Amino acid sequence: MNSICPFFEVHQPYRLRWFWPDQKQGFDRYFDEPVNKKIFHKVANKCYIPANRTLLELADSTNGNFRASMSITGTLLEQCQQWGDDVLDSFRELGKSGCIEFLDETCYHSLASLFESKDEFIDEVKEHRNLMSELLGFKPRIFRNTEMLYNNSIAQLADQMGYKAILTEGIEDVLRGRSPDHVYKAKDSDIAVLLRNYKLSDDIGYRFSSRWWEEYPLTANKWADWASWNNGETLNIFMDYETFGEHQWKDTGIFEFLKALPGEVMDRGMRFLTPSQTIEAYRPVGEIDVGDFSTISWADIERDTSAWLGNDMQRRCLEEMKILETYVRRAGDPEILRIWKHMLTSDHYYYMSTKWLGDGDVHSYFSIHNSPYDAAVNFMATLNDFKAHVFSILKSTE
Amino acid sequence: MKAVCICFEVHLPLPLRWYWPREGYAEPHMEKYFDMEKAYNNFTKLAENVEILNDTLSRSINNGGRYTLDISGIFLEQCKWEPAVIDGFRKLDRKKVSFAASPYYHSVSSLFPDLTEFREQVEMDVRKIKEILGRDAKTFINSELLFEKRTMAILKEMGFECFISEGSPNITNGSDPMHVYDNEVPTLLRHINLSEDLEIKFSDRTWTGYPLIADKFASWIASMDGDVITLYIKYDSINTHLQKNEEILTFLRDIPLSLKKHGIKMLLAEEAANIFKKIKLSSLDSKITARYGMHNLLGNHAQHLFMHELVDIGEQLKDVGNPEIRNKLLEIYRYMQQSEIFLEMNAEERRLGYERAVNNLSILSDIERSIIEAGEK
Repeated sequence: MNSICPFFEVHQPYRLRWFWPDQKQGFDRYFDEPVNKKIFHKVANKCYIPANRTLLELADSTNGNFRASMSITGTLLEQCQQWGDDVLDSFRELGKSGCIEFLDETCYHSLASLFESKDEFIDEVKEHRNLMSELLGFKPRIFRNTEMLYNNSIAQLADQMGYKAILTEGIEDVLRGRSPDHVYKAKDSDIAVLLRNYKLSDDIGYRFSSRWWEEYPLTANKWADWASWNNGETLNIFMDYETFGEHQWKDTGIFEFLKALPGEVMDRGMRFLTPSQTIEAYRPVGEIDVGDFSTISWADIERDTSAWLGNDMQRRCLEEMKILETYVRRAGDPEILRIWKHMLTSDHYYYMSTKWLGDGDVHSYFSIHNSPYDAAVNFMATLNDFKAHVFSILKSTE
Repeated sequence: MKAVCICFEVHLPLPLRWYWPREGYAEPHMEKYFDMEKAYNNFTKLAENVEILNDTLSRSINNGGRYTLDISGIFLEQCKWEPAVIDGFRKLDRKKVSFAASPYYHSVSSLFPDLTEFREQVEMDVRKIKEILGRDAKTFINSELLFEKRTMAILKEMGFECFISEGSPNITNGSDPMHVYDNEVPTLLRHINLSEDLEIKFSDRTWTGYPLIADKFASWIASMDGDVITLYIKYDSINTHLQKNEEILTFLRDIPLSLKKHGIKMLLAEEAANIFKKIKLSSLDSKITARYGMHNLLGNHAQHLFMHELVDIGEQLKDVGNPEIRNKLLEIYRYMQQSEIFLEMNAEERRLGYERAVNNLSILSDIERSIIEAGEK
């Protein structure tokens, strides 16, 4: 292996309230401010602040040779503005270090890319781009879609919007015997594709502290050995940023692992590269072809759209949201539009997933609901109230 | 025991469809939300045997039987598919059969904060019974045997002589309901166990009471001390027994004779209410109940949400000015109040109930959207 390309997803949704029609109006009628604020602070203290500090130290101690990338969703940036200027500052510092490349994505971490009409998707990417420039002074060149959702059309759109590369999951079905550890290009467009090596990513992201795992405990030494044994140019290690301190708690030794990793990797003659550097360093070795009806993602064992659209409740809710789009836009009220966009956030649909086996635990991790059925009924109740509100506005402006 | 009242509920709901929003924001109509095919099939199943069942009632009546029939407005409407069904009920001996009123749409409107809707549906039902069956309803039985104190003044004012509700433990304080109870309208309470023996257990071969013959059932009742036992049974369940066990017909035919051997009379509900002394039951002043308890009907979060929306929609409906559109929406709105819609959101396994709830809320939302669009401003 020549180089390692780490990527972190940094995201928290605005979770919905346990809805009951009352006097509250606007955004707070539907979203749970106290809960969201509490979770934001919890995650900031356990993960964002200490993990950012660790990355900065690594940038410093390696003289800039440690590099990584991250996409911070618009919803999280909004939460930083509301509740955590210090968190925002620490992301800014990361940017200034030159070791972290920020990526663009859908501003609301939404499922908009699954709609037939791509208007909302394009809007959200632009919104994110503006937010990155405004808050972090950064102009991303690389795109990664919500939860690595990917198909040829999404890649093509990213290309048209000027992005040089797009990230997604390295799935066997798509690779057909090829290795994910190279740069590829998308079918029918010139955009480069970076594929996640899910085995070596999940060794850190999921299995790190699993006592049932025969490789437990995982050390930086051991992982760097595995990485070095792989034949390929780039090892793309993509994971939730919350891996550090939240999915894997501090006392599992995850921060020590992170601190030790760059040294071990570089000792074995491998480099760290950002996605931009990766696509400059290597030429595409082949084409990635994912039809629009076989959309892939990094979620669950199926690695498709079934984490969000696996059951009737999920499909029904997204379908309703999709039909509502025209009316929401026609209502011409910025707050209404904002609520609708935040209701498109993938997490709401993820909480409704009834796939309990294996991945169910992950589905419930950041959920405030006891069961996917509660989540679905609550979403539908929220949507009904919101929909009635939209139509009342349209009626009054007729 | 001095007497027995047997009441049959003749009712089939109009089930909600598995609705899909892709159908878009089009005009509302019954077929968009209700599963007419399923309703038709359910109706046909009952209609096929209703002649045999009614014929059995006639024979039973000849043996001294008396029955109070609670035929819902919704069921009478379904009879348009097979008008002969109504004739079968008309032919029953006028003196030995009475017809009870209930909210026309088998609705939960008695739980609304404003009882205007409830009153209108009861009046509709009374008119329908008069029009179709040529009879005045003297007994009132709420959907799902609901007891809601606030309705009693209305029912009294409307002149009902008897009211039937559920003999649930919170009302009877755990003892068997065997009297007429003092209330704004004299009240009978369903004897749950004895009703279940006929409604549910009759064909169950593993039941210790099997086979249930009229003499056995009469001797059980004879061994109890009190004025009157009230049985409230779904007519459709008798039809279900009939599919596998024709003995149900023999039972019904013989039951008046078997009771007579013990000196027990069969009475119409309103007769019982007039004959016996009214016993005080303090829980009737403070409690609420429904068939198998309120929690089935209005217990979980989804049901409460649905109820809240339903009440809200009722208010918005008042703003629809065009009478033609308003009546169309009103009919849909009233069918949305069927008790069964609430019951199905409380499947034993929350999974199923909540999947249905998501569907049902989605339908309600489409109706609300139509009402807002049709509103005055």
